Amino acid sequence: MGRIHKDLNVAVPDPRLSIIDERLRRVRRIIIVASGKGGVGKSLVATTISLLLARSGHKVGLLDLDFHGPSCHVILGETNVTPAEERGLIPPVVHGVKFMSLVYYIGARPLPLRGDEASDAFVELLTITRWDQLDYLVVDVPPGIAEEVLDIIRLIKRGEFLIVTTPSILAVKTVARLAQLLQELRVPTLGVVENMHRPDAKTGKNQAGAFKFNFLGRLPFDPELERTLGNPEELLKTRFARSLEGVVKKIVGAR
Amino acid sequence: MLEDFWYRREEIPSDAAFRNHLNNPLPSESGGCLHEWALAEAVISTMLAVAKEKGAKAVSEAMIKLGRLQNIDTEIFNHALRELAKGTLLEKTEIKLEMEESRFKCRACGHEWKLAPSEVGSDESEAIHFIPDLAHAFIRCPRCRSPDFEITGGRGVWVEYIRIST
Ligand SMILES: Nc1ncnc2c1ncn2[C@@H]1O[C@H](COP(=O)(O)OP(=O)(O)O)[C@@H](O)[C@H]1O
Ligand SMILES: [Mg+2]
Ligand SMILES: [Zn+2]
Repeated sequence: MGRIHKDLNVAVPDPRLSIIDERLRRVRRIIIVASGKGGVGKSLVATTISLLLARSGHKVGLLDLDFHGPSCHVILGETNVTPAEERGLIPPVVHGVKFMSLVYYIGARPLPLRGDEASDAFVELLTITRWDQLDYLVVDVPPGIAEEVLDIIRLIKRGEFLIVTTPSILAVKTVARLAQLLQELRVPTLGVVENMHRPDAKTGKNQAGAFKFNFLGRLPFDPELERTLGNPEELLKTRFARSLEGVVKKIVGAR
Repeated sequence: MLEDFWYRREEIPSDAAFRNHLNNPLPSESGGCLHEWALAEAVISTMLAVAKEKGAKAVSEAMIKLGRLQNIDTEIFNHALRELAKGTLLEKTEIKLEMEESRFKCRACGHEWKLAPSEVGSDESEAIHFIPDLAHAFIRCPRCRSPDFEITGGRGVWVEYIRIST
C-alpha cells in the first residue's frame, strides 16, 4: 500500500544540516577561539595559533566567523587567492593554513546581517566548505554570546572552546558570562588565555585565573605587534607569538 | 533596472587582492566541478535518512525546491542527484525540481520586490550563489536603499516532499 507523505516541510529537515558532520568528519580537533568580549585579541590569537600549529607540521584550517568584522585575512596579509569550487568550496592555503572567510566574496563591503541571517550564512558556509583532512580547525568567533556561539554549540558538538580575556575587569566580567554559559551547557572547554598582560599595569587583583577552567597562560601586551600585522613571518617572531607557543603546546597535549 | 540595486563594478570597495579573483574567470566559467554537488549531497542524504526513518521500501517521487537566488545550474544539480542516488533507495525515484523566485521585503519602508533571473549574472550573484545572505552586501532596497530587507523567497534548497511506499 502506498502512503503519501506530502507536506513534508516538517518531516524532511533542512538538507544542509545533514552534511555539516560529514564536512567535519575528517577534522581531528576543532578549536573555538571565543571571548564574549570584543577587542581582546581573539582574531590575533586564533590566527597565530593556526600559524604555529601549521609551522609545527600539523594540517590546519582557519575559519573566520566574524561576518561583521572579519580580521584574520588582515593578519595573514593580502594574498591573491580564492576558494576552488569543487563539489563545494575548497579553502585556499595561505601561509600553510587552509583559510576560509566571507571576505573572499564581500571584500571590504559591510555585511549587515540580522541574527537569523547570520545563522543562516554560518550554516551555508559549513555546508559548502570542504576542509577534507585536518589535524586542527581553528575558528575565530565574533564577540557576544549570540548566534555564532549558540550555532557552534548546536552544530559543532566536538568544538573545544579556548576563551580569551584581558586582565581588565571590564573584560573579565563579560568573559565570565560566556564561561558560565559553557559550563552550564557542558561544552568542552580547553581553558582561558589572558592576553595583553602588562606587568607595569595596576590592574588590581588579577582575575583571569579566577575562572573554573584551566588557566593556559599569559600573553604580553606587545607594542611590536601592530607593525607585523599582514606579515606572518614577522608576527611569529614577536614576544606575543612566542608566548602563545606555550599555550599551543598545552592545546596539543590536551589530547 | 539592474543599476537600481546592484553596485556597479567600479563602486565595489576593494579589499585589495582578496577580491582579485573576481577579475579572473569565475570557477563556473572555467568549467570546474560546482558546489551544486555539495547541495545535491545534502539533499540525497537527508531524503535517505527520512526514508529510512519512515521504513520506506521505495521512494516513488521527490519534489525539490531550488531558490532562484542560489543560482543553481539545474543540469549539473540534476546530474549530481542522479549520480549520488545510484545504488540507493532513490535510484529509481522520480526527482522533480522546481524553482522559487527571489523575493525581497524591505524592513525599513515595507517595499516588496523581485529579482528577475536575467538580473543575476554578475560577480555579486556568484557570491550570492554560495551564500544567499551575502545579498545584504550587494543589494539595496530599490525604494529607500536600505540594506535591512528580508529575503522572503528564492533562498535555499529544500525537499518539499517525498512519496514513499512502506
Ligand atoms: N598582546 C597584544 N599586544 C598588543 N596589541 C594586541 C595584543 N593582542 C591584540 N592586540 C591588538 O588589539 C586589537 C584587537 O585585537 P583583535 O585580535 O582584533 O581582537 P578581537 O578579535 O577579540 O576583537 C588589535 O589592534 C590587535 O592588534
Ligand atoms: Mg576579531
Ligand atoms: Zn525600503
